[in-house]
Amino acid sequence: MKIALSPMPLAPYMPKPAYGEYINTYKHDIHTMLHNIKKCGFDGLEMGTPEGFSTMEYKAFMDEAGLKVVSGKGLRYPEILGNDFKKHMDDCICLGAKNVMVSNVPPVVLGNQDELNKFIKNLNRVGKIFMEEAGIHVSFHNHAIDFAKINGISMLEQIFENTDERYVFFEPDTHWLQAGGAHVITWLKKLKGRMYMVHFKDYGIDCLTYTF
Amino acid sequence: MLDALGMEMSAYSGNLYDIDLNTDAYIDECSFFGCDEIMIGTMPTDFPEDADGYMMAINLMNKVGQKIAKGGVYLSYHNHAQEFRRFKNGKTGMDLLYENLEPNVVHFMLDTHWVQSGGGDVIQWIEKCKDRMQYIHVKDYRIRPANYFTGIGHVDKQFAQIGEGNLPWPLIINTCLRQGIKSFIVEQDFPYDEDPFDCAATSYHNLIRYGLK
Repeated sequence: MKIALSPMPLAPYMPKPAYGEYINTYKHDIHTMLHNIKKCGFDGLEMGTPEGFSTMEYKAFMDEAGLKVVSGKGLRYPEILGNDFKKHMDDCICLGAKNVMVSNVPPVVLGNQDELNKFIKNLNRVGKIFMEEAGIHVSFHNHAIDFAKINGISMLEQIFENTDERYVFFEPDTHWLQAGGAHVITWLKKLKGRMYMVHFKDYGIDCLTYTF
Repeated sequence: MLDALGMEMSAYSGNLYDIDLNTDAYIDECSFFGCDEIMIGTMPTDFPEDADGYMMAINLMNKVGQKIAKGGVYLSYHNHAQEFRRFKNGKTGMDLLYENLEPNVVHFMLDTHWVQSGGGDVIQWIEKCKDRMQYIHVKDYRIRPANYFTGIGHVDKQFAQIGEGNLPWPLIINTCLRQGIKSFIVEQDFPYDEDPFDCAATSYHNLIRYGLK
């Protein structure tokens, strides 16, 4: 397992869940999509069980296409605050995924140190449960906005400094590190030992008219 | 006035065509101020915005560079983000400049904010410009906690005082000092709602705090 695909770029083409008489067409479309992903050369996918599927049904599709689920359905607010994340954990366990992503800080955290502290505390709590009960990495995934500072220190830096290295991991995104103004190589080195996965995307410039 | 204030002029900025036409006047003025480099602040806008246009501009800069070098003055090219655009031939504008400008007459004057903004690795670019850069524009790159609901793809970036953004300053300063950069030019295009002199002072003090001097 080396190179997996995040289905983000496929979102506009992702078959829309359908029920009743259309359910079979929908499932057939997902089946085709998985085979196309495999044909591109990928070994795996960062996608938990899609709507309309049972976990075992999705796993059977993935097995048949020769793909692995490398990372399950992302954790968000409010589930991180309580215990609603257990269903995500079960999904990961059945699918054999060893990672689950927390994608960016929740809106309420922006510019608010108390909320950031609460977020970090819950990352540690949830990360511990995932790791100890199922050996699954809870990984924080950054965007540019996570580089906004509170009290002079960026939110990402604070998350890095204040989460438990045993339980909270990072799944940085090369494009968003750059867009956030960070030095990509420095961050990748800094995350040694705390990075189970990484999101690769390039950063291109397309300005046809310029003002400077 | 600069003498009275105990200040020096490190570099000069000029228009490529004007330098071509009035080379001697520019040389005289530089020697009066004791400055040895004239910065070209962007691509001339009358060339096509493609690889051919870049090559035309590069040839012109090389020609003017050779003329003015006779007076002991270098030209230098100052980048923004747009030079990192990749053309159909697979090269970015910066690649073309780097590969085709004559190193002994046309230098670079990188801008840290704009290298980052263009998707370049600031440290790698400073290292690449070893022996081809005497002065550097330093400004930080800051993310503002914008309205989240404009979408996660929205990047609300700002120019910033040194240390107020996210660029790796100790590493930048070390790399520059190691390769003998003569002057760090603090630039912050907009102070936003802060006092511009406070911004400048913060940048100055942070440069020193991060290892300059």
